[in-house]
Amino acid sequence: MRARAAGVRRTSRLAPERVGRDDPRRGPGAAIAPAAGVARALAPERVATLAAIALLLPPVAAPAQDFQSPAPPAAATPAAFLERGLPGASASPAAEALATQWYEVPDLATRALAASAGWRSIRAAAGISRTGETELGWTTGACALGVAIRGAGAAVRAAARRDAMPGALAAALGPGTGLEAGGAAWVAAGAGITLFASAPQMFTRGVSPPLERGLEIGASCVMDGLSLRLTRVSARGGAGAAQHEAGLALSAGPLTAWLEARDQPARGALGLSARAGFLTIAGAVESHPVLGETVRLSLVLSRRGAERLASTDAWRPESGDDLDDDDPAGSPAASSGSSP
Amino acid sequence: MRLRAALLAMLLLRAAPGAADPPPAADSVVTEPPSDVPEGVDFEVERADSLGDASVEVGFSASGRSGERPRTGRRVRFRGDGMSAQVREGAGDPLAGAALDTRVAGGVWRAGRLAPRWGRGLVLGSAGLPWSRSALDRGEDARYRGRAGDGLSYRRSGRFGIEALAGRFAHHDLACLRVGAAGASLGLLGSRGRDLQWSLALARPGGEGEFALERSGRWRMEAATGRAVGRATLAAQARGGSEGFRSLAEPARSGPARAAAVSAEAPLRAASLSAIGALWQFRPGLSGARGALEVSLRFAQHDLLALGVEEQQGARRITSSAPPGTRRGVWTEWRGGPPCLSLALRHEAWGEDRLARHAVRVVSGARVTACGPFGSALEVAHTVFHARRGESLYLAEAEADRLIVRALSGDGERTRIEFRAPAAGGTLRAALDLAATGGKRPRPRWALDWSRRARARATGTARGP
Repeated sequence: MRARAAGVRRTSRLAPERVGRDDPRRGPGAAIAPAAGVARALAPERVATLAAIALLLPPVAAPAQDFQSPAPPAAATPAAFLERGLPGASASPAAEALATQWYEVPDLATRALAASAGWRSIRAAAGISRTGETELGWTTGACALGVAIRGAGAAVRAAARRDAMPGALAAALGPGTGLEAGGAAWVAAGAGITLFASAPQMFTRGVSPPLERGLEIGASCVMDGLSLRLTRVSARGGAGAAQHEAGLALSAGPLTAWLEARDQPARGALGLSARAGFLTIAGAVESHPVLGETVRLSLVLSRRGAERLASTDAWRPESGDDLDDDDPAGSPAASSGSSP
Repeated sequence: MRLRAALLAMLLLRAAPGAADPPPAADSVVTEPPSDVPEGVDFEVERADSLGDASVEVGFSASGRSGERPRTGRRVRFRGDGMSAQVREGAGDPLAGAALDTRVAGGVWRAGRLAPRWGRGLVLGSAGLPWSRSALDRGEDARYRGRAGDGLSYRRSGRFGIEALAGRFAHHDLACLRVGAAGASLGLLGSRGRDLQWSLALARPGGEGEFALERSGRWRMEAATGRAVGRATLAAQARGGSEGFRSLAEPARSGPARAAAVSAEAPLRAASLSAIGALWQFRPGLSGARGALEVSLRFAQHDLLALGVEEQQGARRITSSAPPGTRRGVWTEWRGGPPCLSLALRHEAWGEDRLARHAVRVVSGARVTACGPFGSALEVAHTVFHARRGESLYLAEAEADRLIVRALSGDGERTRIEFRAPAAGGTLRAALDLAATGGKRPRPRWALDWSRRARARATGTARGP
């Protein structure tokens, strides 16, 4: 979990200056005043610890926050559906419980419950999450709705947050309240390859989300017991460096082990999951060079095979189906001088 | 020296007939506006989709942006019995105006908006960009209908062709006359201020050329050729002449005085290779170059993967400011998915060093297209961009009747949601743009368009003009 450093235009829930962006009519002094009230209400050492985390973290995009599931690459769980908006290929119902201990900070933990279900091609999920303690914590409710057909899936997701002490932070949606919404899609390209895009924060309103998350583009490949995922996460708003991620998982029977690596700054994670019947237990440890370790645990109830993001078979074309390659606006981002 | 050698080589290429005409070169409208549009400014151009015989199309549109007054527009198009016409009306609409085509006296008369093209376009209808083989919004067969001027024209094709034109171009009243036979043509363009320009053009199946001369003695010459070599298609063009030569009709599209460009396209089973190289010089000290290579791979599911690299140097248009340094770009694009739920991803980076390091422009985008019931469709595109100060970035938006090349700058992101559905016998399109730059709150931009095409009952032999 990372927040933007002080001085960056958008700040996290861990940084008291964040309220300034949400109410432009208030001057800088007015923005700091309620946050100072929060600071006075907190124990000094706790505030110092949290502020140090906020200051030390680099200003880059973050992969996930309230519903980050310790799942191997190319896996779909109810929490991952809520977090990134990527619906699973299976319509089977599933439930997941999550616990995350952030950066070895005792009072900074996230606990979440998520559930997903499907009917025909429709997929839906809902969940609730709680992060932090009474003084400086927040509760998040999230939902996602989408479709998954043979070879492709897409969904929209939304998350609403409310601070544990909402009266301290005024915002457009009410004290201490924020909303974010976005969407994602994936397409199976054949040979076990799945390409995906996720923009979980296309729209934000009210109190800024704890982490800014930009456009995520990636590909995953599943070959028997081996799966690989490569991802590029743009900085939100285009300002700042992009983050790159790579994950590699190996499955042997009911056991799956995986490794993940990220840059900005360079760090890694190690995860392990085990399945017994309908129950899957997973855990992952991520090591940050400055902030320490983050530990994630999850418990998933689902049918076997329901955790795959993409269906095994890619779509096969019918006669007459074609893509419009001649449309200049068909390219998602055709910019200056880009094509010979 | 290198430029002169390239020019000489190009001019020595004979216009030999090829097995197939060379493909159109890079679409200047697709990736950036033509050279007569100032850098960093939005550009709109009309699609050249043609109506069937005895058809009529009506359309109503409205668009706006938060904090601004909405803009409404209306359009009517008609075609049938040797006549076609269109009228566009709307305050602030850059495409507003009328055009009427009718077949009389063995030729086609056109009144209203004109975008003619003679030969290589040195006098009328140039692309302006040195690597473009032809302008895509000039001439009868262009993909887009541009506007070079307004007036009246007459054109008769056949063994002996004739073309006459009178109108207002680039704030000047002009009159033109061109006669031609057997692929050769001679044209004269004069202005009210007694400026004159001559055009001598020759067109053959494998190539074409044009020589332009103005009264002061300044001249310009350009030749282009294309031929098929096996399954590949090669094309080359070269230009030379006086630095001060400016087209009377479209001075801002005169382009560089000296230029040479080559392009190649080769299909290799599921892959397709395309390459372009160009050198140009506006005047001593103001020159540029561009080289690009793109590989496209098509897969069984109609998926498409494209990878490309490019290097650009120097000025791309006449400017008084210092030309930018070297720009090296890489891009990758993938499109695929079932027809009812397709996904397109693109990442593009431009930098000052190899592999686009020290980035000056970075664009990442994703687009999802989903079809719904009753012929409806939803499209969502999200783009994140970074453009260093002084760098231009363009994103294309396809509206119902036009293409908008939107200029962006700075750091930001844009979300575009578009919905199409049949309504009231026509098609309704609604679009919402949320573009935020520099950390400011996005100012929503919306557009609504309804259009309907109807085919009249046949009353006889319909002949389009």
